[in-house]
Amino acid sequence: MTGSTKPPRNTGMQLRFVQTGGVGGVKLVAEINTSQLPPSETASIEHLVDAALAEAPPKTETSRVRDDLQYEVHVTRGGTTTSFHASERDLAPNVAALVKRLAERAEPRR
Amino acid sequence: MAIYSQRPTCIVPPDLLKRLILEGDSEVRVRALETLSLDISVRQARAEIAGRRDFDTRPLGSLVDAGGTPNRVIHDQAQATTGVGAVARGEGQPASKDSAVNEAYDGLGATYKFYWEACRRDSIDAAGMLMDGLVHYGTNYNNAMWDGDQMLFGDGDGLLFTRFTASLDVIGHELTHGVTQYELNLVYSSQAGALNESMSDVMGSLVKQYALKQTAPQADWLIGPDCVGPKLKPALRSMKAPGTANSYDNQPADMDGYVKTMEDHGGVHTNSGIPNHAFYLLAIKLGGNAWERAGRIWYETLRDPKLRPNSGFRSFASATVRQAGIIYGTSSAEVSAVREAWSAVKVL
Repeated sequence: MTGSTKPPRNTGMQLRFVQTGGVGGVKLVAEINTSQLPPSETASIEHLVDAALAEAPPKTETSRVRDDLQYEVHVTRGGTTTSFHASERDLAPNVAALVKRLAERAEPRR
Repeated sequence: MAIYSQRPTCIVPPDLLKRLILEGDSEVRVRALETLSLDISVRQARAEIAGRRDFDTRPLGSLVDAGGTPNRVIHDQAQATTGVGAVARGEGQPASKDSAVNEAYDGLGATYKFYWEACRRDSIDAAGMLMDGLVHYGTNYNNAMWDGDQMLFGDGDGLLFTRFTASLDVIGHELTHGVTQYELNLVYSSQAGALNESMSDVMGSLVKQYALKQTAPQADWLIGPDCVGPKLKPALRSMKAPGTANSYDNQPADMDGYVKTMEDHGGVHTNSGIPNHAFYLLAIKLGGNAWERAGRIWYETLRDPKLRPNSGFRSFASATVRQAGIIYGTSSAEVSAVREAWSAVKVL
């Protein structure tokens, strides 16, 4: 068939998740392109990301916690990257849900 | 007796005195040696006075030679991450059917015993503080931590980690974060944070060595071999050979490998490899039981009133030399061994 127009390609969302700290000090990383996930999972993760980004960051205070896990999430969409950092002890609910989901896919890195 | 009613000052700098000792004629050498010796004695006396001042500011409980009995409470979080779970075992109560409960109870007991018998310290705050351990924290939770008041232990996911309560050095590590909080209170960032982490590794390892009655050469100097899963075997960290504990271990052994990073509070679990290795080298050099001399120097350094919460590696290293001098004499083999250890890791 000629003259047909291809539908716009869904480039999805690129996610980079980095977990550091903890008593082990082991770095875990997950890199996800949501367009490469099954459609149901894409929608679910993108919904979690949007909810986490919309959530007001919790107030962080000088902490006496030691060996807490630290998280970095970088979200790239349409050429724009948004990042946030959080400690496991001050996670807002939607951020906690996203972190839990991404941590399941993370693997150790040097 | 007010020997120093006015603070003595040394007009001739120590470096000049040292040069005179090396280059002067015999009479100058003798005089310079006498002066340098006096200067060192004054510095030592100052440190000792400061130490006594610090002791006087401690809670009354620590001034009394009481204690020797732990006070433990183990809570079962039943996977909850908020609140404090039901008491699963209190001090003196019989063993539970739950292994994690008993491991936490025994591990906190072994840590208390080490601090009491080897350091004459009565619990976390040196005044008999209650030791709360929360087990089964979270679901497949891959961590253990000190939250400022108590210790939290996860069960692990079985791949990266297994039950943290099974690891005596990790229990000693977490409790030592509490000890540090009540002493030098090292800032949890960059070099001070790495020293905070290292102090926990050092004491955690000594707790294990003390319980196993191992000498420095007999010890494995590994952190966490009993709580790592198949992906992180054989251990989390090696004080003997930093950077070799598992496939992902990137700890440096000396300052050439110091890592500048924003991650993990400025690399506190990475750069702790440097002071960890210095302690290991000292313990091996001194031989025997590591807690007796190397451990004592490190513990007294943690209580050194001249150090500040934001102390870096060099300040801390100098303080270990100072404490070794106070305890064993400034020309002792211990002082030389401490200097050698820090020199080997390129801090001094």
